[in-house]
Amino acid sequence: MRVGELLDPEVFQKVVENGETILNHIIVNERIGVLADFGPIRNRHGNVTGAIIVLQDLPYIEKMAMEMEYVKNLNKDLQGILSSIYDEILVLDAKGVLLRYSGNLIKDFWEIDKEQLIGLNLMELEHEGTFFSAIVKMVIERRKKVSVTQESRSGKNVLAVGNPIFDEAGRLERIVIALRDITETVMLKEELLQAKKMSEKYKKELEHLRDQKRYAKSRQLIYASDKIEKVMKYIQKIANTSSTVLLTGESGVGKEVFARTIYELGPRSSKPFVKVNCGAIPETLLESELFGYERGAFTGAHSNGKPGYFRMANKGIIFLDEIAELPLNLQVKLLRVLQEREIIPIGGSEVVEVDVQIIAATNKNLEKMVEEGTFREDLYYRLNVIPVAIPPLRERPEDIPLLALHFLHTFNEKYGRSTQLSQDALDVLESYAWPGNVRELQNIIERIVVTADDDLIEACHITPLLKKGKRQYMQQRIHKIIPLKKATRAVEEQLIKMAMDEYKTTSMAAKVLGVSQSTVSRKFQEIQEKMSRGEQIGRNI
Amino acid sequence: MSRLGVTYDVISPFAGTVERIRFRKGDKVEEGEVFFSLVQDGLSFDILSPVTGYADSLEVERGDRVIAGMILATIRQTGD
Repeated sequence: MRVGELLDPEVFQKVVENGETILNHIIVNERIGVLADFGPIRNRHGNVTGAIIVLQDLPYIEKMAMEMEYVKNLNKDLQGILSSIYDEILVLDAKGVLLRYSGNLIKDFWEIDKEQLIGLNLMELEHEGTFFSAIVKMVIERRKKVSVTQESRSGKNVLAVGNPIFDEAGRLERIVIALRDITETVMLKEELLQAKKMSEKYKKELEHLRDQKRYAKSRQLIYASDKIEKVMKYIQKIANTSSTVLLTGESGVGKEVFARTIYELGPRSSKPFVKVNCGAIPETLLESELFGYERGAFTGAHSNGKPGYFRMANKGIIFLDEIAELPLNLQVKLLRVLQEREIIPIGGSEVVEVDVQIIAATNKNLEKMVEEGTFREDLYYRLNVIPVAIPPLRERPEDIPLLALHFLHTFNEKYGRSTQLSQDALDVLESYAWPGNVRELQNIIERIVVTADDDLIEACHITPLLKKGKRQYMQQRIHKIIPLKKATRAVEEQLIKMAMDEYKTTSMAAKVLGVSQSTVSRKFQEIQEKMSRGEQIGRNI
Repeated sequence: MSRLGVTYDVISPFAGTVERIRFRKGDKVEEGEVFFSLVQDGLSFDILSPVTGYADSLEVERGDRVIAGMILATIRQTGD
């Protein structure tokens, strides 16, 4: 065996050439671990002629060597694993000194060679230091995970997650900072957000167009009653002005339809009509939705600002539905728009002039709200320039058959059906009080069209859908000629039944009906008999 | 879209102290609603939600000191 194969030739050289003695030299490789002592062999003249080498097999050294090899491999594996999980991982000690790092470098993020950082305290760094020292400080202070994002000068977006690691005693031992290049993610998220916004915008536009189309179909208001005729004449008169209109009426009477009629009849019909439901937008957003904001007004704001409904409606009409839901602080701002005809967008310093006609609508009693202090008095008077009160459906029963037939036609077309209403059915509809007004009528007709088994709808199909109310009796109207006696009896039956329902005793009923008690008693007995036979009372008119 | 469950971060634009947190985990949050109030140099600033969704995680508590760029909360966006 040659020296070089087993031993370090340099050591051997020293012994042979310089005559040195070397003790406790450790030789470790994959095969063996031994302790070697070297000594020179000299001849008589003192010249070195050879060397004596004592090798001592040391099992523990071998074990150590193998363990070292194992750790080396482990380290390599760990490095590989770490770099495939995160883009970059830094390990710091409890004071912030960089001990080791792993993984690939995030390109263009580090402005100095990271190797130079080993052994340095990141808290004292100047360059990237502001970023890292802040994270390290936060982790030390909070003793909790800290996530921070930063955009580098080159436009890289990096997410840094700092995690504290504690020893058994709960002392901070290490800080691991994982860095990830999220440039792409941030961009994708941004794009996704934009795409969503766009699709929402298109959806709105589409709905708007659909609304318009639907509206164009049912353009003219459907009515036959004098009450609406009167309202319409009034509307025609006021449509040519740009004064503020306040529409009042119960829920479902069609305030939006009237608002649109004012818009269509007026000179602003070619300009925008913007509908805002003050009750549907969260209070915190209402201001920015109405008045818009400038770019950079707040975090999360659209980067180019937002015009707001008032500017969108410029030269046209803004329809403020559910005006009573407007919070008090915005009532002040609306008042300003009404008075000055100008708005200040959020974050803006300049006043923007707007030329907008306002139509406000509510089903609440604003006067009462003013008294209660929930609606500003000055705003109420500003809005109440041209009040238009829309009468509820029950006050204009002449309109019911017309509306019912109109809706029947619309829904027949929509659902591809050919249902018809019988005269009886129309009578029932007409005698109903309609607490939900036109909207309720519309919904009931839709329900009938959708659910009817036969094409002809009879009264008995409709009655179960209507809420029972006392007015049902009162609103009976006569549509065909019938014998007077029969009609008289029917009315009589109705009145006696109502009086008995209300007052319970025949004496009281007789008093309100203005007849003798014996008459009431006799007739009520007849009614009860009729009812027990299952016949209907007062229904044959 | 909603099944993607993309989360967005509410990020602190500057260093300060958390004065108020207006939502709890799981709450519905509208885009533009005030999520945090941060105090910096005695002035209170509103940090708004960047998207509409549900508060997915809250990373800070009231009174915590925060630094610029720090993620304060994440919001899981709801699509429709």
